Amino acid sequence: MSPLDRLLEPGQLFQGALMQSLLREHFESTELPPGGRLGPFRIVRELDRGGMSIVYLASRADGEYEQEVAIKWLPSGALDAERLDQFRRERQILAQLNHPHIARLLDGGHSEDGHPWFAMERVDGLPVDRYAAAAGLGWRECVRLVLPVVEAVQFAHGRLLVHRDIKPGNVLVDNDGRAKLLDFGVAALLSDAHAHHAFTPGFASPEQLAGAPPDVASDVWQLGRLLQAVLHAPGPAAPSVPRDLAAIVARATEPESVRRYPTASALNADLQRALHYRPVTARRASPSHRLRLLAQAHPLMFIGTALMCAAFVAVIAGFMLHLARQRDLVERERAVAVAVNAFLNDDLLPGTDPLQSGSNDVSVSELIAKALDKVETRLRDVPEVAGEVDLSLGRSLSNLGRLELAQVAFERAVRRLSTSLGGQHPRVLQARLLAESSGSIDVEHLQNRERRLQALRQDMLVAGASAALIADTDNELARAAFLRDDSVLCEARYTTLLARLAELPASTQSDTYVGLSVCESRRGHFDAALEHARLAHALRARDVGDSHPTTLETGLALEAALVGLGRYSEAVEVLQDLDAKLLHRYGDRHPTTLTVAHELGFALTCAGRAVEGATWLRSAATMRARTLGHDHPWYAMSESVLAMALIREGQLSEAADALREAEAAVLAHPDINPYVRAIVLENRADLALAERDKRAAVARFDAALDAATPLYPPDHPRLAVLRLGRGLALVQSGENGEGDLWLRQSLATLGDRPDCRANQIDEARRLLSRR
Amino acid sequence: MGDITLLLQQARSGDDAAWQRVVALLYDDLLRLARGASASCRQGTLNATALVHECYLRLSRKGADAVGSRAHFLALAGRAMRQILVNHARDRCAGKRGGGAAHTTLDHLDLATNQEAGDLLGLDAAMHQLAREDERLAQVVDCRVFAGLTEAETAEALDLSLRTTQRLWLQARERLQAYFTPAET
Repeated sequence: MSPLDRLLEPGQLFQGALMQSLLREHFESTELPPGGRLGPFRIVRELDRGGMSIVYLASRADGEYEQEVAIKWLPSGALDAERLDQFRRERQILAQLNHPHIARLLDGGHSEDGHPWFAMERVDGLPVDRYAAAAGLGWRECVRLVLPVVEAVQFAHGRLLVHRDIKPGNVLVDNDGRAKLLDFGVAALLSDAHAHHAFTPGFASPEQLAGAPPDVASDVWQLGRLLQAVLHAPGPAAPSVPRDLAAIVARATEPESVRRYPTASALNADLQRALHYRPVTARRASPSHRLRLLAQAHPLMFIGTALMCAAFVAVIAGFMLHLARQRDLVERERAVAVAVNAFLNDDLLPGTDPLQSGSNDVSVSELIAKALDKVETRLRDVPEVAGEVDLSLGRSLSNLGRLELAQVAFERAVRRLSTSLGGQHPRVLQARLLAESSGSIDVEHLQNRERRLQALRQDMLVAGASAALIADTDNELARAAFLRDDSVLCEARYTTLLARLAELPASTQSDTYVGLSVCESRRGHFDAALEHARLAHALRARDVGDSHPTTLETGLALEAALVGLGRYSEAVEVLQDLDAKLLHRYGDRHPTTLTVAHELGFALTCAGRAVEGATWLRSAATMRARTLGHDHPWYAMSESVLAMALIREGQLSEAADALREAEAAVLAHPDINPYVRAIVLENRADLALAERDKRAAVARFDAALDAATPLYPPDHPRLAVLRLGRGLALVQSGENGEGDLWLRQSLATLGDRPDCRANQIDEARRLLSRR
Repeated sequence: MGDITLLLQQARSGDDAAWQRVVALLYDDLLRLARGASASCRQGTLNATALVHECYLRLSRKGADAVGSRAHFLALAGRAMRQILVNHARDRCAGKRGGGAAHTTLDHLDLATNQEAGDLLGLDAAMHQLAREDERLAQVVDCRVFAGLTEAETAEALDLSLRTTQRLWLQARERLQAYFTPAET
């Protein structure tokens, strides 16, 4: 074959010596020869070669100090000037990522022709899956090996960094048996054109494969896959995996990102549970996850959840990454990350470790209150972030019982979010609902609440908001009716919701059940109230655990039903348990703690332990006056019921003092407190009866009956007891005939049902039996 | 990359500087493709087309709309590839003449490479003469030899019938035999 024929033969040219020479020259020039220098490092030898990069062992060559590093070199990844600039900035953030289980980024740069390189702490060891197989680890050892990696990812997420390429090859176990995560953020620094090459088959999350930029959920997915790879590494003895652990892996690797653990810390918590043989959340029926529940848990009777700082950070981090996904603006993403980092680290978290849960709630509350002031100065340039931060701070404050501050935060959130997102955005609507539902319970606010809620509901319908959001608003409307003592409307509103409850999230369902139960108790429908309280309790215990604050809340509904049924001793037990838990959690100023103190005083008095009861009621009244003010109806309630206990003890002048306080509060707002007013009038009548003030007593009972009759159904025990009191007053003033008639009639209505005024009922029976 | 449109127009109207810049733009991509083609040759298959196609997609994504159709780009890629090889061959010959002393111990591979460099420069000179006579003949050679296209792909790239392509390919080879003088090595 002539030289020309050889050249012209199709395909020959590509294999020819000239082409090979050209290729060698071109491609070898972009690799690093041993002994070559790169920044302050000297290349020792090649360690590993991946699809996009070559890893070299290198040592410091500037004589500063001895150090071996791993250098990741991207032979075909030359970056343009703009991306090089971004690369430089982000490298700064990564270099500050100090965690014992993250291989530290030590240095980085780019060669003269724009090829980026990273120098990382060198980890000499096996990939985690091969290590586990070779060491023949059991499942518990495997989990303990991987857990620090989960914590490391959690740590980075708290600093707004995602890894994007978690896989066994990037988790090496060093000589001390410690797993270290390599390449943090490296994938993120590669240009978009290369990013899809960075995926490792089997370790790219479904959304990464679909082309979406990776986020927290992707990292959670990859952590799940990592755990799976470690547990199932081919080896002589792969451990048998318990069902709970398999469920954890399955949940972390759910194809749909919303069904996964919302954060790495949630995955961490479940792994800890598995290690300690406690039930894991991954195997609970409800797919709704904990963070969402935390976010949605709004206090019905002012019990909320104290968000741990860690969860708070995760919420913001998750949101930030979401925001980053929506806006393809690198510069803005960076500015936002820096601003939020500064906010979290300098303003919110000083003196606390965000990874330590169970911080003292009081100091957390102070911390958050102070942080609120900084939102404006710190996040002025990123209004939508400021809005989200306000919202999170508001939730935390509300849950910690700092209602006025929560109100301020929520109103700011609504303002900021609606400026950047528009008034129809679901986020804004949700913020408005939170502002209404967790806000202050002062009198003026109560009057306007329903009007505003109705307007909000209308806006939701117009904006096409989700059924769950509308149902949450309906729950709030029913609760608003309860707060201004319209139990008929409250019961009706909640009952309307029952019909469409099955389709709604568990948190919405339990809100409805617990609210309905309370209003049924007010209406005297105690059997139904008890049943609904138990349903609510079961739902919440399943979703959030039985010691969670929102589950404790259902204890109050349960107690109210038990009191209504006259089962006072059972109610006292429930309340004492609640009080201990709440006091520990919220301290003695929290509205819910006070509600429990009040109810406990009442139940004790009814159970015949009036001296103890009076003590609880006195402290409830004092603290309510301090936190809600002297003209708040709930303060009036505590003073009024205190009077009842004092009457029972025979301390009539103290009872008269307490009633004067209650009356002053009622007189200040006669129109919105019919229920409280009726209770105060009843105790005033009882006092007259106890004082044997013959002329006044009958008139007082008439007044109490006038006030109570519109509030209760005709056969309600409350009315029967009032009529019985009037009968006693008549007998006392010598009108035996008419008095006996009232007594007989009311005793017939009451039947055998126990009532708190057992002393009056007993006296009525004694009087009648004597004749 | 947007100005590749302009460069291509200038190159087509005979602006040599513009043409060299087009080649520079395609340099990295084409060499990557060549490496793939070289590897697939060793495995007994020639799959250059898929690779050149990827190169085309990259360019059109970057907004080089004047690259026109995919087929037209394939023809263009062949010509650019030839240019790259010619540049490399010239560098080698120049290096050998310039620093002869350093290359006294040429190994077998170097000898083969130099031989081929000379052959290629000779072919390139013959191609220029061919193009002056009939542009289409040179285009067919660029497609078949330097872009690694099959006869059918070449027909599509140059918008010719398969029969015409086959005829032009035979004609081109015959004339090149006549014009070809290996460059002195």
